[in-house]
Amino acid sequence: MLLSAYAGKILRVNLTSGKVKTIPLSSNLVENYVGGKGLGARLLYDEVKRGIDPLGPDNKLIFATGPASGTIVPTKGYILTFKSPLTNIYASCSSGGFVAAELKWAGYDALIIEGRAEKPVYLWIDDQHIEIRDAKHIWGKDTIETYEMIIEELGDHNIKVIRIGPAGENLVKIAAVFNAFSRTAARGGPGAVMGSKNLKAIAVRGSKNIEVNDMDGLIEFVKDFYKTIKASPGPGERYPKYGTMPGLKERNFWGILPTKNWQEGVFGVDTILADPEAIRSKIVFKNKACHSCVVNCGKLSVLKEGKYKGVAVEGPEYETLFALGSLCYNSNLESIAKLNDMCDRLGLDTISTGSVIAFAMECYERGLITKKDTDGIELTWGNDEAMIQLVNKIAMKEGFGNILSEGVREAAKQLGKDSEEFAIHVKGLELASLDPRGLKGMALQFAIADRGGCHLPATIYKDECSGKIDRFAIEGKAEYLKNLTELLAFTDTLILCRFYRGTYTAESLAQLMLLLTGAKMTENDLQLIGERIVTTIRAFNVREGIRKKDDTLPKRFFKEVMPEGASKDLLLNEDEFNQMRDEFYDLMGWDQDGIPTREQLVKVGLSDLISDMTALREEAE
Amino acid sequence: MHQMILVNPEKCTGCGVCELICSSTKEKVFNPRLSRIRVTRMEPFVDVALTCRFCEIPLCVSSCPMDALRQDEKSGTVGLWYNLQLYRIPPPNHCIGCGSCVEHCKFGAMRLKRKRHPVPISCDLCGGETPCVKFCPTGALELTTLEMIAQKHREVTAKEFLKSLAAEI
Repeated sequence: MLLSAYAGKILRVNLTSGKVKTIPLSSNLVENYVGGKGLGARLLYDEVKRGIDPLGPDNKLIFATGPASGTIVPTKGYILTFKSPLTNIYASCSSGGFVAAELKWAGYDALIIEGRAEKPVYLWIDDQHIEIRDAKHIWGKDTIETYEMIIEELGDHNIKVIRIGPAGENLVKIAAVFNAFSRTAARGGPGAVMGSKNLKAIAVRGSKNIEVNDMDGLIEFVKDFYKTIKASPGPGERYPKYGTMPGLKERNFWGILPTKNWQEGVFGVDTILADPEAIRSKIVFKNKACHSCVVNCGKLSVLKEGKYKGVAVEGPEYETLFALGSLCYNSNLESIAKLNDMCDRLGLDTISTGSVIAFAMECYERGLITKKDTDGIELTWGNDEAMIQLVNKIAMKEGFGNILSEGVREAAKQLGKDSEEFAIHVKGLELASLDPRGLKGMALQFAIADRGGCHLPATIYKDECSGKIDRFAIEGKAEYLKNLTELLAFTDTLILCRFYRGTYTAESLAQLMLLLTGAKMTENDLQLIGERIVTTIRAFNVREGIRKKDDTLPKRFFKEVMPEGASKDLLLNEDEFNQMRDEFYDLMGWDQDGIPTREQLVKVGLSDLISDMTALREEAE
Repeated sequence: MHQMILVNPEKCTGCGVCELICSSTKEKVFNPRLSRIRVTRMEPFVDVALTCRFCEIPLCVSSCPMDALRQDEKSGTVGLWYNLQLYRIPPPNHCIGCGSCVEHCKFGAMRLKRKRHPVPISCDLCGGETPCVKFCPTGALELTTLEMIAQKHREVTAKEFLKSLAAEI
């Protein structure tokens, strides 16, 4: 019998044939993977074959919700899983907004998009009524226009719309998928995958009930949960007031704010960028929240004066302030808001967009490229007008933008001349905003994160910055990272937002599962499910060719010291890094090549993957 | 003077918690379409939660072609004149599910629940419990009366007046 809180169905839409199928959510999948990230990971492993073209019809987009989606439990939306065109390996993005709840109310736990439509279409899901509709008139429109046109056409403001912008249509490999006003599933190029399927948007409306195992118990649980949230400094005070904006000030304090394409670690200490209170009073208009969220970290900003007057954007978030700010040596707040708005409308990932521009700026500074290569744009550090031109060119794949639209790894290959030295990425994914030279745990995190240079699987930087663990220590980091990664992988099945970290324990999560679904779990069960998910994703990546050689960091971090600030003179030591990585492999049950061992697969209940992994090991030998 | 739930649009984030606590209280499920309070999000600027204001001339009641709705004089709440559970088949003058009440309410506060028989549903303040007000994460909802709101406005204006006087002196 299927558990409470689930819709019990997966919707499968094949765009090649136009066929729509509803399949039951198997209790086996639910028991082993719960939902969200786990569900997506297993479906991807089973359904996306080795070596397929990420931008071809064989790739799939798997939108998964979790048992908490659509209920009053503060959640974060959906997890989108796919094979990334940017990295050629596993990728999953989590995105807030409202669409996950709506999909659940429509009666689906997950949505699988496969194949490729012949011409531009959009998908309309209205409970059990599913329609593939013509999108010729919307193709080419930006993400906001697309949203407005679709709700107008379908005649209901309550409809939730997932959509891409021109960047996704043009198969830009750093293109994002949007929902709500500007909530994004951004990293790894999901927008390009959606564009490759000729799918402009997915509109969802649902009217069904979600029943839980113990409603009264759940409401009591949520009341207590609210109290814990209100009492904790992050979700109780900082995020409601400033969102993620204080990040810049904090990273400056530790000297780990990536600056000038990762050459420096301190930026804009005396500018408005490092003063969240000033940003708030200058441009923030009101708070926005995702579905059922009590934190309301979203900040709707409006520029009332200056060169970029009239811009209204949800943000800028810290990662955007870093990528389009410090990384490009740009301290003009208004220009960052404008660039943020452009990326949102054109449908680009701000982190990767800022990263490719910073990479190009360093190449320009060092004379590897000149105005001839950049279509006449003067790519000096902090030149906001040049950045604006470039963002447009990237989204439209025009001239120099065509090269940058491939992400830093591919752009460096095309430019040649040692530009690879300045391409800061892991496995092709541009790094998020923390310099690993000043945080040893983050160095390991970036190297082994499932989708490439990502900070989210364990968010270990939070504990390293807060002083909970020693940021310079090597000992114990691998184990700490493993435990945290597994616990957070479990929260990604429910799906809870990272910003609630610290307000729940394994024990309270188990209780939440019982109230929601009726499933009885121990803390060990949660950890095991987390480990199973991590192992499944590793197996997918191994099948795509990922080995130990790929679990590393850009050379810059081992060679160049930080020039100033609280992390001055620091760099990574290769031996220490290797020691952490080897220890992590041991703990995870991966062999010296990084392939999960037979014993590990048996331990986490994945005996069915043994033959695949054995074959891959033999292939290598 | 009737109490009612009013929203402060500057504080409302559109999170929808009020809808969920309402449908779980009233219907024991999570479904905003069964909630007596509804959030309207018009991206990007507008988020407001609206519910019944217990009008003095309730258009929902007066527009009912079957005369099936009544307003309680004391509390101002609107509902069917009969309790459906007491009837095996609906009595004369029963709700036919035409939606006229939904059509005429200026606040979109009336909804039709369609089960075996249609039932119009709207806010009844949960006997003064108002869990939506209690659960609202930003304190955007308030259980109040028009007189209280007017008094607040008077106080603000009076303070402004005082300030300008002080500046002159």
